[in-house]
Formats: sequence, C-alpha cells, structure tokens
Amino acid sequence: MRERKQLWVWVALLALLLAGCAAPAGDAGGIDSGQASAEAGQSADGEQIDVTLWMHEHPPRIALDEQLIQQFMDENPQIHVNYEVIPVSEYDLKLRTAMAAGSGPDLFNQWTAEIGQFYASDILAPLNAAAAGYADDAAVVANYDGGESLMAGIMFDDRLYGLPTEFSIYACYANDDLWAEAGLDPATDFPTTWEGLRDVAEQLTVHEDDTIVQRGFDFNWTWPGFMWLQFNPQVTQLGGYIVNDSDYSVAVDSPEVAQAMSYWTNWATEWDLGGPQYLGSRDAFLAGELAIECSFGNWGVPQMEEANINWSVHKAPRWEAAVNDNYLDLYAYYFMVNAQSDPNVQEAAWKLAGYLTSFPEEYFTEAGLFQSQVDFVNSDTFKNDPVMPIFLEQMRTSQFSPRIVAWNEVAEALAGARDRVVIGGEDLADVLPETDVEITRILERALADLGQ
Amino acid sequence: MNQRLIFSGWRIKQKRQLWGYLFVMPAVLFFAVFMLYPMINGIYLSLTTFTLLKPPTFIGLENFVDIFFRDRLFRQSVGVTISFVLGTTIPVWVLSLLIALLFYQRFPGREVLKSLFFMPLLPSLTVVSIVWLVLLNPSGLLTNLLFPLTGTRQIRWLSSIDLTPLMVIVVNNWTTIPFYMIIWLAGLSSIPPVFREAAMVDGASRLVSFWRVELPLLRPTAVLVAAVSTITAFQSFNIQYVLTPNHGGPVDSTTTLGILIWKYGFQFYRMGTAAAVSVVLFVVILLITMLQIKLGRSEEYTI
Repeated sequence: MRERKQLWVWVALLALLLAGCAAPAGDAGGIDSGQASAEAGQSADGEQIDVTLWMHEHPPRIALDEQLIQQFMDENPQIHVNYEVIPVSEYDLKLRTAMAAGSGPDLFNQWTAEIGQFYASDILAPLNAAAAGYADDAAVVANYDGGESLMAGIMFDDRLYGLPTEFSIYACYANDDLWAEAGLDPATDFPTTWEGLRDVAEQLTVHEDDTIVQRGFDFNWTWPGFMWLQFNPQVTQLGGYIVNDSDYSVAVDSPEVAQAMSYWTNWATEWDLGGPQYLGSRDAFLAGELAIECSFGNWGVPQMEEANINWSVHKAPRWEAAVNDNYLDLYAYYFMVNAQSDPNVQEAAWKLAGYLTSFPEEYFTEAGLFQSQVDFVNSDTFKNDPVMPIFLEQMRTSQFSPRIVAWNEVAEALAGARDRVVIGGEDLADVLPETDVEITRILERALADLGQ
Repeated sequence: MNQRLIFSGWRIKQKRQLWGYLFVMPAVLFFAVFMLYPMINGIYLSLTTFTLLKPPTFIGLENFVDIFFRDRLFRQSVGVTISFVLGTTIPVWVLSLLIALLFYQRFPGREVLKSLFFMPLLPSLTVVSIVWLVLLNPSGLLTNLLFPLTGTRQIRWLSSIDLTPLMVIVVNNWTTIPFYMIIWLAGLSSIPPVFREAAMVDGASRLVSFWRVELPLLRPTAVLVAAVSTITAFQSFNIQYVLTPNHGGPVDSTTTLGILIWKYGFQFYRMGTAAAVSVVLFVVILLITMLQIKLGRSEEYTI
C-alpha cells in the first residue's frame, strides 16, 4: 500500500514536471511574453529601451552594421541595440520559432518571399514614418528611385510595413572568353529575346560524343524558389500570371504558362541544351562550363572575379510577342518591426531602421547592397558603377514575385509540375490543370490556417 | 525492542528506496523532458494547425483526414517509403547473411577482408552520401566505368524517376550490409559447435545442416536484424536529403515519410501536418516493435 502511495507521489512529480515543460507551449506565439520581454528591456526609470535586431548573415555588412549601430547608440543614449547575426540557413526557421515563442526580435530583416505569410499572420507593425525620419509614407516612397514599384514589395493596403535594406534583380552574365571561342561577341550578339537566346545558346553549346561539356545557357533548376524568379516573369511578359497576390486567383492552366513551360521543357528535352541533370547554373558559370547565366544579381560580381571569369552583364531577354516590358522578378529585403513588441520599442526600432537605411553609399561600396535612394542613384558612385545602371533599368519596369502565403510550397508545386514534364515525360496538357488545382488547394488551406 | 527494530528496519528500507529513486531520477527526468514531453506535444500538435507565426489552433483530426484523403504527396510518400523499406530489408537480410556465412569460414586474409568490408559503416551516412554524390555524377566515374557495357557517356543516376530511387537503395544497402553482417556473425558464433557436429555425424550435408540446424537457431538474430532494419528504413531521411535533387526528388520519387515530415515542418512551416505524419509513422514503427517483441517471446518457447 505504502509503495503504491510512493508510486503516486512520483507520478505526481512527473506530471508536475511535464506541466512545467508544457507551460512554454501554452505561450507559443503569445503576444504577452513578447511584450513582457520588451518591457523588461526598459530600465527602472523607464528611459532606456532595448531593441533587438536580427540580420541574416552577410559577412561584408557586419562591420558596417556594428559601426553604424554604435553611432546610433551614441546619438541616442536612451536606446540600446542588441545586434544578432544569424546564419542564412538557420534564419527563417529561427525567426519563425522565436516569433512562435513570443521572443522574436523587435527589428528584423526578411525578404519578399516571406512577407506575404508574415503580413497575413499579423506580426508586422506598420511603418512609423515619423520615427524613421520621414514626414509620411509618401515621403518614404518619394525618397527612392522607382519608389512606386520598388516599395510595392512592402506595401499592403496602401500602407508601408518596412524600409529596404537591399533591392535586387537577376541579370544575365556572359562569359566573354567562351563567347569569343564560339566566334561571338556579347556586346553585339547578346540576345534580347528568349527565342534569340535559344539560337545563341546552340552556337555556344559544345558536345563531346553524346554529352554536353559546355552549355550556352541554362536555367537555374536547383532550388524551387528560382522558378518564381525566372519562370514567373516569363509568364508576366506574356500577359499572364501564376498567382495574383491581390485576390489569390490562380492561372497556371493558361496559354501563357503553357508557352513558358514548353520553352523550359524543350530546352532540356527536344533542343537538348541543358536540364536538371547538369551542375547548377551558378556553379557551372563559375567553373567556366556555362556561357550565359541569368540568376546572379549585382552581388555576383566578386564571385566571378574570384573565379577569374572574364564577364559582361546584360539585360534579361523578353519574348518576341511580349505584352509587358518586365525583365526577371524583383526581390528585396526589408527591415520590419515586430508587432508584438512594446509600442515604445517599436518606435525605437523604426528610428534605428531609418538611421541604418540612410547610408546607401556605404552599404553599396562596402557590402554590395543596393538601396535606391534618389540621392545615391544620382551620385557618381552609382553612375560610374559598371553594372548598376543596367540593374536599375531592369528594376524600373519589373515586378516582385507574388507576395503570397505558402510561397515556398507553391514554388515546390511549380517545380514539381516542371519536373513531371521534363523528367517524368508527362503531357503538359495533363500536368497544368492538375497543378492549377493543387496550387489553388495549397493557397486555400494556407489562408484557412491563418483564419482568412 | 522489537518495535524499535522493525521501525529501524523500515527506515533503512525507506532510505534505500529513496536513494534508488534519486539514482533513477536523472534518467527519468531525461526521458520525460527529451522523449515523453516531445512525444506528447507532437501528438497535440498533430491536432492543430500551426504555422509558427501564430499560436497553434486546435482542429481535431482534420490533419489526419487531410493527409489520408486529400494529400497526394502523403500517398506518394507512403508508396516511396514502402518501396524503400522493401528494397533495404529483404535484400539486406539475405546478402548480409550470405556474407556473414562467407566470413564465418576460415580462409587466409579473412580478418583483413572483414575489416575492409566493415569500413563503409565507419563514416556517417551523410559523408557516404556525399561521396556517392560525386561518384554518381551523370558523366562521372561510375558512368565511365560502365561505358563498355552501356555505350553512353551520360547516365542520369540522380535525375531519373526510375533510377534515382534504385540508387538510393543501392547506396543505403552498401553502407548498412556490413552492420547486419556483424550481427549475423555474432549470432553464428553463439551457436554451440556441438549442434553442427551432431548433424554431421548424422550424415547431414553442409547445406542441410545450415538449413535445418543453424538457421532455426539464428531466429533471435533474424528477428533483431529484421526489426532494426525495418524500423531504420521507415525512418530513413539522411540519404535522401543529401543524395537526391531538391531533397526527395526528382518529382518526389524519393520523398520518404521522413523527408515529407521535414518538408511540411521546416520548408512549408505546416507543423500540424508534419506532426500528423509523424504520428502515423510512430504508429507504424510501434506496430513493428510490438511484432518484434511478440516474435521474440514466441522464440523462448521454440528453443
């Protein structure tokens, strides 16, 4: 009897322990705990404010960040900044997990692919323009060259939710030596259309027996996200779309998507110019095995220099029958503020974001990050840069990939459709309607999960 | 006096029990915090929708209904997992036993060969996968070695819906067979020689002796090999993650349930769905373990 009693005591102890473990789960995503930690950052006299800033790792910017944050704290002694740099591979998961636990950063950097999910989850605080040093949202937009289109990446319902830390778009780089070997000159022969790209790529492709040892051009088949950035703009050029992020309508089963998908399929099968079985396009270009690569931004130049590639940069092609003048898809990183943080901390965070984004020239020259403030774009540093005018010209007429919930999952479904046709040999006419239904279902479920 | 002795004895017993509990406590705590709690929380999460950006919302069995009746990827993963389990169990049992029987014989250089054969087991599966990734380059070493037979300089080892699942099985078996060989060898060594000698005296051939005497006595080893290899195969993740394009490709032809859980949880941030698939996998593995226990128990009566 006594032993049984003791057993119950131990069971009760174990239950208590488990209850203790379970307590944080109850807090998962809890707004209160985030607020509590923010309030804890304030000193007893209520003056000092702690702002936690999370950035994904980009080594060239760290020293500059640290220097500018120190300057900011010197100028604003009531604000203390906890600056944390997180490896890229861990960043998304860590950020989400921290948000779930109510211990997310007050200010963080995130890219456009994730913004739709973050906004729909109500964790983004609208921009406090005054705190960031602007009169209002319109003044922010006016401060950026191409502000209407570039700031659209962080605008929802006519309100801004962030300040840009980097704008980017892919362009096409040519390996000039490989072009010369084929008797071509990128300066005069670089194709302006996708149709022309095929002709040039055929001339630049080198076969040995039944194997391609050098490709003229190839898409980036490696990560499904590249499908958005390279395939989606091809569809947009033709006047179509994959997902409309304003009403979440899906148009995968459309002539425009079919044309773009046929091009990818033929590239790997009928024309035999590349495909998913080869080394990824970026690595192949840096290894001197690919003559044209279209998934590098302006930040790719140091890698090419290091690989001793004799390169030149060109605008991405368009279709001969294009109805829109976009190039490849835009993407951007923005400073965003955690809506769970204390209002005073949010204000301090916006102040910090405004400060850090007021040094576009320093971030460009030291870290290769482009922020399109009008003053910087008009500076000699920008105008004399060998690549940036081309990138900015592309940015002015291009769009962001749809900022939707479940961006990754839709990208995977798109890449899956492509691979079913290219690798599995399935009929495009069967695959597209099925993918249309699949993506619609993914979006419906994702929106339902968010209570929308 | 007697009462004092009894009381003193009771206290000593209680004190000993207390020490016993204290010694066991770290293990119990470890199990509770790192095994029991995650398990219970995992089951709870399987009944919720949870994107990590908002608190989990209880939705009952909706995730299970979804994966069983509406989820094409789950159904495909079940098929892929079963194919992988079949490809990495039955051939592994047979091959590892045959190799163990070979190494059980005495021949010159046996120990050196045995050590060499054991080597694939030493590096981690991830390292093994990376090495094979290089070997399986479409125009790589293996393709060139096979050129006289195939007549082609390019084989899509890892970008073909038919070939990639097969290569994953081959690489997996290449690294796991030595492990099971060692277990079979231990089982063979535990059979008293007197049984074989008696069979020989009765005129049994080597094959008959193995079939009628040694194999039945290897039954506990067989149950262990079968259970461990099956459970490990159901949980398979690393090799598909490292070796295949887009972690489980091409076209999800190598997306096992382990890969699917990772995709749902950490790529798509559908933690509730990932937890539901985990629970299904847990139940499958639990059933296999119970079957193993049952077979193990029946063995006690057989011998």
